[in-house]
Amino acid sequence: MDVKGTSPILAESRSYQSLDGVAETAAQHDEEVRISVRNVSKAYRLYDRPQDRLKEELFGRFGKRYGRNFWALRDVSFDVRHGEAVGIIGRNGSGKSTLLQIIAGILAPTTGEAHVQGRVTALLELGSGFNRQFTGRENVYLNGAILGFSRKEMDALFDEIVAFADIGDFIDQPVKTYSSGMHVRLAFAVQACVKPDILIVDEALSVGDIFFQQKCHARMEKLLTDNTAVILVSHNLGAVQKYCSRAILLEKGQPLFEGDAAEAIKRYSLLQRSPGTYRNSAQSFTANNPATALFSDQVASADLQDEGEISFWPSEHTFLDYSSATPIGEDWAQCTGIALCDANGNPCRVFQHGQEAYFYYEFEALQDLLVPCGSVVLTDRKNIIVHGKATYQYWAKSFPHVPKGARVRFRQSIALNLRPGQYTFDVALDMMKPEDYASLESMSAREIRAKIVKLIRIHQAGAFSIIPAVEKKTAWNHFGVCDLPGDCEIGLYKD
Amino acid sequence: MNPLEMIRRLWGHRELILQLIGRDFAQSYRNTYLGALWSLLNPLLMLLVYTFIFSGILKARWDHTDPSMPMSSFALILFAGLIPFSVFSGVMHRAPQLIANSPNYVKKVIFPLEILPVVAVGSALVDSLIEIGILGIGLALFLGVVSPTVVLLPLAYLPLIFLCLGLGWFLASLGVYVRDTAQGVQVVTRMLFFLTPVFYKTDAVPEALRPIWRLNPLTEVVESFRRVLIWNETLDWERWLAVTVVSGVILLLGYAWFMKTKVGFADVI
Repeated sequence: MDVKGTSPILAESRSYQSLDGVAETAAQHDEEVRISVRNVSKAYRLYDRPQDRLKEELFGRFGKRYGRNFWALRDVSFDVRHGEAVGIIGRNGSGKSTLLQIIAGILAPTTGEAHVQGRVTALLELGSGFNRQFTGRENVYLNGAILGFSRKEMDALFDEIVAFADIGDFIDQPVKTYSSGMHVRLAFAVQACVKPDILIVDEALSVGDIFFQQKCHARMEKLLTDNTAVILVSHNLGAVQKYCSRAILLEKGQPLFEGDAAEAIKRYSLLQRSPGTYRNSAQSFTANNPATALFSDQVASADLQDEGEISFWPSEHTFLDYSSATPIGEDWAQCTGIALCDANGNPCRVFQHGQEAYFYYEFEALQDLLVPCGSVVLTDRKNIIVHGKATYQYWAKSFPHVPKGARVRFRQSIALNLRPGQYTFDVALDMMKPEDYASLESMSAREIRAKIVKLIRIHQAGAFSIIPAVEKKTAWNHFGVCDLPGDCEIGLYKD
Repeated sequence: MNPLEMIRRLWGHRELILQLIGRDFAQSYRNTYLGALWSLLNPLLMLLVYTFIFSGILKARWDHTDPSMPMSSFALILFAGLIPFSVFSGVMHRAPQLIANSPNYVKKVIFPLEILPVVAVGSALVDSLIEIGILGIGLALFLGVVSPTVVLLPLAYLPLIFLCLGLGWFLASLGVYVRDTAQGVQVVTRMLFFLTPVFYKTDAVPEALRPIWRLNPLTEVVESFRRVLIWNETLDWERWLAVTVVSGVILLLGYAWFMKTKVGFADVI
């Protein structure tokens, strides 16, 4: 049943013109365009004290200014058509929610114009349209009325909404008794089931569990085939990649990129840790010196060699700026470069599930050191160490001795068979005596741990994201953190 | 500023307005023991107190030429004037905080904020109708008759509604930007309570000062209510027309002000 509200106001197109009267005619040449944003900027005036705000109201016309502008958005323009899903991504504070509020008509832009065609429903914050004292049922009707539906029209939609929300008998309990998951289920159900022309979803969805999120995304896909335009704001890059054909990347209010979603995501990931000041190392090195009297002459093991280079070292611009990470223990060595790349040596911060990540890191010895051992430890957003491996655990060839002033470079690759999400990594340098390194095979874990001398660790040197592999059909191909290799078969036996 | 546009918009939201008025009502009395009984008790109790103090203790007389008027009549006359005034003061008290206290409706939900003052006026009107009912019962009991001029009551309401809506919109908007508004309104309505002829008739005011009283639109409103409910007189058409026109202008100006300043709410809240 095709239900449209009786409200004449909401069904017509609406445009917001900027306060200072700079109105541009909406680019409505294209019948298919549902949302048209042109040169939208938003500035907030910030004042040191509340009195200053009043002073500026009164004396502002004489040219006196008491506050300063904070530009939440700067010159954003884009269109959204029928049946298109556009993602808006960016770091916290980049202006995503402000842009949504302007499109929804809640906020007026300082300059520029946002024009929407059709009924807009929005899920901007958890349960904000709900009156906590009233039951879910009453709130559904209230929200429907706010959207312009009469009681009878809501009666027709009610069952569908309740079925989608799946909160059972709680529909007749006051909303204040709901958990946040129930809140968001009911809120989304109302906004999505009323067949909007435009659906705006802010990060409120992230409160839902995986089942709910999949249900929401399935519903959004259905709305897309019904020619609804969808705008999705999310930090879940996998979802943005899967459901959005285009995306806009915002950074500090400026649109950095607008176009293909995958490209936007790639650029976003490069923002996470900007290369910034690059290390001025990057010469090939020799890590050896003739053994001094301090060290044993014994270089017995095949694992140790006097010198060597590694096969590949990325170019200068790929190195991370980890200056905000905390080094622990700095007297013996200092870190002189960290890079995270893909297989081609290009800096990469977003990897597909299963893709190999290449960690390159370099330390300079401040004292004479023994056998250098590097390690990389990956931590998920719950602070669980999902994988950490040190170079001696690869039986890599190392060197017996690092003289003061020399540099050691490490290259470590890890296949990221981990759950999609966001991760940080630590980088560390330890050392152990050559004779211990040679006899690692015969030592127990406890003995090994006892023999290691920790030198320096860079905690949370960088961050990266894992997104579902592009060719896989589902975002969910294993439970838990690790995707361990394996196989299965099923047999059927009939008597 | 197009009055037809305003009517069209508000009419379009009538469903929402009615629902919100209903919720307003239910919400005030939800979870209380006496429930809707309070809507009757409130006015009755206040009426009893006023009558006792003014008539019984202060020995105020409605008409100095007729000192034998019973207390019950005084009470009913008082009540008739009190009803429209309490609509006014109720709306004035609520208005400055209507928008400021609903940040969600401003920033998080696409909501037609201009209906909030309409809802406030609507709730106050519903309360007043209950009180009119009580008054009617009182009139029947004590005076034995209900004036037929009661049919003119809707006309008496008209300027009151316009005034409350117009000022309601204005104050609701002002209350967002200037938080002092709520305090200021309290002071002014308290003053108006005594400066409006609720406890006394307009003629009791010294002749020289009467024009000042006439400037107050509530004076005419209160008089109209008394005329049609108690004295069985028709409205003073000249005065009524003047007040209705003035309050109509206030209505349109208030609405225009609200719609103009509405865009800035989200910035300030």
